[in-house]
Parts: sequence; C-alpha cells; structure tokens
Amino acid sequence: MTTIEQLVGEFIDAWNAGRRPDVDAYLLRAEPSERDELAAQLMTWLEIAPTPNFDATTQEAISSEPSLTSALAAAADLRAPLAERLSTLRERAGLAIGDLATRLTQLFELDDEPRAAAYLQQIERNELDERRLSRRLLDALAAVLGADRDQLNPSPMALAGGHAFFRAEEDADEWIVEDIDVLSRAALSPAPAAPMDDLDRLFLGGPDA
Amino acid sequence: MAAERDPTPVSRHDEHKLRQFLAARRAGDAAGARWWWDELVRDNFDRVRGMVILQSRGHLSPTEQDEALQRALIKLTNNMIQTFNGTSMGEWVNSAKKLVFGACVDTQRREQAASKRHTAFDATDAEGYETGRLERDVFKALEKRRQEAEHADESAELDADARGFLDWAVPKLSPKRRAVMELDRENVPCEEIQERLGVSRDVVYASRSRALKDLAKLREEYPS
Repeated sequence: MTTIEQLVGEFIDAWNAGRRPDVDAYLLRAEPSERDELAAQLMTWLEIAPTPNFDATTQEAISSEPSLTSALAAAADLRAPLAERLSTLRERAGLAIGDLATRLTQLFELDDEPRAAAYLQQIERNELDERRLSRRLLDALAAVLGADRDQLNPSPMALAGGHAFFRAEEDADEWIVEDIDVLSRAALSPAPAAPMDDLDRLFLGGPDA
Repeated sequence: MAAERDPTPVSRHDEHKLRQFLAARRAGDAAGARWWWDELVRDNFDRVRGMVILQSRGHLSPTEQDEALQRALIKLTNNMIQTFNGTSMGEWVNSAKKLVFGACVDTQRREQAASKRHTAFDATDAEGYETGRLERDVFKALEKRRQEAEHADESAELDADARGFLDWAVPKLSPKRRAVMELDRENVPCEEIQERLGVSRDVVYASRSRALKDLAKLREEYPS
C-alpha cells in the first residue's frame, strides 16, 4: 500500500468518525512530490463525503471556530439595510456627504454635485429603493470608500422583494391595498418632464444601468 | 457488495436539515429557513475550509486563505441561501465548491489589486489631482472583477449536477471500489466495511484511494 492510500484511508476514517481531520496536517505527512496527488484525492473526497454526524461537544467546538463566528457576524452585518452600512463606511473613510458626491461626480465625469449629494442623503435616510441603485454606482462607492464591494451589496431583503421566501404572514391585505393605491396614483400621474440623465440612471436606473 | 446492505431506515441528517430548510423557505418562514441554513453552513465548515486550503494551495498565503475562507462563508451564508435551487446535499456541496473557488480567485485578485494600488498611491500621494485618476483605475478593476464574480456565481448555480455525476460515475467503478465508496458515503466505519466485504483494512484503504482517483478522471469525461 502506498503512502497516499494510507493517508487517504486514515483521512476518511477520521472524517466519517467526526474527528475533524486537518487537511494541512495530512498534506504535510506526504512527501512533497506526492502532495499534489494527495490534495487531488482529498478534494474529490470532500466533494462527495457525507457530512459527519458530530456529537454535541464537536458541534460546540465548530460553532466556536473564530473564522466561523466572525464570518457569521460579518454576514449578519451585511444583511443590515444599505442605509446603515453606507453611512458607517462613509464615516469610517472620513468623508462628508458632499465629499463623497464630489468624488463620485469626478469619477463618472458628471457635474451637479448637489444633486448627487441629495441622492446619497436619500440612500442614508433609507428613502431610496436599494434595488434601483446601479452596480456601477455601488462599484464606484466601494472604490471611493476603500470598501470591499460585498459591503455595498443591496441587503438580501431588498433583493428578495416579492419572493415567496419573505411571504407576509399577517396584514398583507392592508399593504397590498396601499401598494395598489400607490401604483394607481403613479399610473395616473403624468410622466416626468425630463428623461433620466446619467446621474439619475446611476441612482434610479436599476442594477444594469 | 454495498447493495447487500440493509436499507437505511432514516435519511442522512444533512439531507434532513436541507429538507427542513426547503420546507421553511416554501412556507415563507424566513427565520426558520435562516436557522436551518446556518446549521448546514456550520455542519459543513470543515468541508469548506478543506476546500479553500486545497483549491488555493500554492496561490494564497495562510493569511490569504483565512480571508478566502471568510469570503466563502459569507457568500454561503448570505448569497447561496437565496440562489440555491437544488434539492440534495450533492447539489449543495457542488454549489459550495464553485463558490469556494470564486472566493479563492477573488481573494487572489484583491491582493494583487491592493498591492498595485498601494504602490500607486505611494508614488503620487502628494498630487491631489492624481487621486481621481487612481480611483478611476481602481473602479475599473473593481467593475471587471464584479462582472467576473457574477459570472462565477451564475455558473455555480447552473452547474448543480453533482448528484447526476455520482449516479453516472459510481456504477463505472470496479465492483470492489464501488462497494467501498458507497459504504464510505454512508458513513460506515472501516471495521464494518472490512467485515461486510471480507477484506483487510489495507484493501479498504487502497480501494478508497483508487476509487477517488477514478472519480476524478471520470469527472473530466462526464458529459455535462
């Protein structure tokens, strides 16, 4: 039996017993020339392996893994409305709304900073539908604020609007009536005098604008 | 042969959790769906970490691997819960694998971009007018990366064919390798496999390793 067969065999035994074998440790046990082959076999195993049925102590140990707890906390933060996240990132970058508007208009080679600032204010006050923000705008905000792009994704709630996942439980009939009322009024209102310009499209044109 | 084994009376616990998630999602129970999904993420933490290490070997430093792991876990938690449209753990693991790959690539590109940006800012920090140009460069790079990442996310969802692959590939293994692999995937301890198949531990180990090698080759041939 080869070393790789031995190591793969032991790894699978440990995995299935819920002993949480460490991939790095197993790779180190192989000769450098055999590590690629071992890595390939371990990867194949991880693609098809059953999830071990961990005991309570092991489950607790996994739940306390620093990388898991910090990732779950960060994921929860990212589910907060964009309004909250944007103002936090802006303050962290030490920029006033006006500064941010200036940078954005420079970036897109547009003028009308006051209108850009007004839009940004609307985002931070949660008065602008996150789903209408263009990806280009969110990319630009990430670049200006030095933030990770994922930190500026619309919140999952905003993206899932209308999806059965977030089906209403109680007073749906009331808000549906309100929505229909708003939509009816919108349908009866005259169209805006001017078509959207580049700045409007960034903030109101939807993800692909 | 694994086929001689008594039918398992209860389903695998991870499939059970996935079914609970799917049921909660269908019922519009967002909190319940979130709870079951987080359970799946926790149960599969070691798998995801292992995949990050194996997929990024030689490309990312240990610190960068930690970043990639964070990125993968966040995407699993926030993105895949919404985009996952499979019904089996095989599909779940396959989507997770694609997502891990995207997270590793993304981490590597970010590190490269950060390194370039750092150098560029050092060189022109005193020039106020240069800031806009540099931001434009960073912005363009971010745009490109975003488009690529979106493409990777889409393909992760489209390529949810793990179950199909195994149904196709496992019967192609030799009888002994197939039997060992099927029992392994049912979480049967090595001693019991030896007893059931009447073979030594060395034979079980060798069959496992060879079956995994065969599966890797078969994946390349799999008609997708």
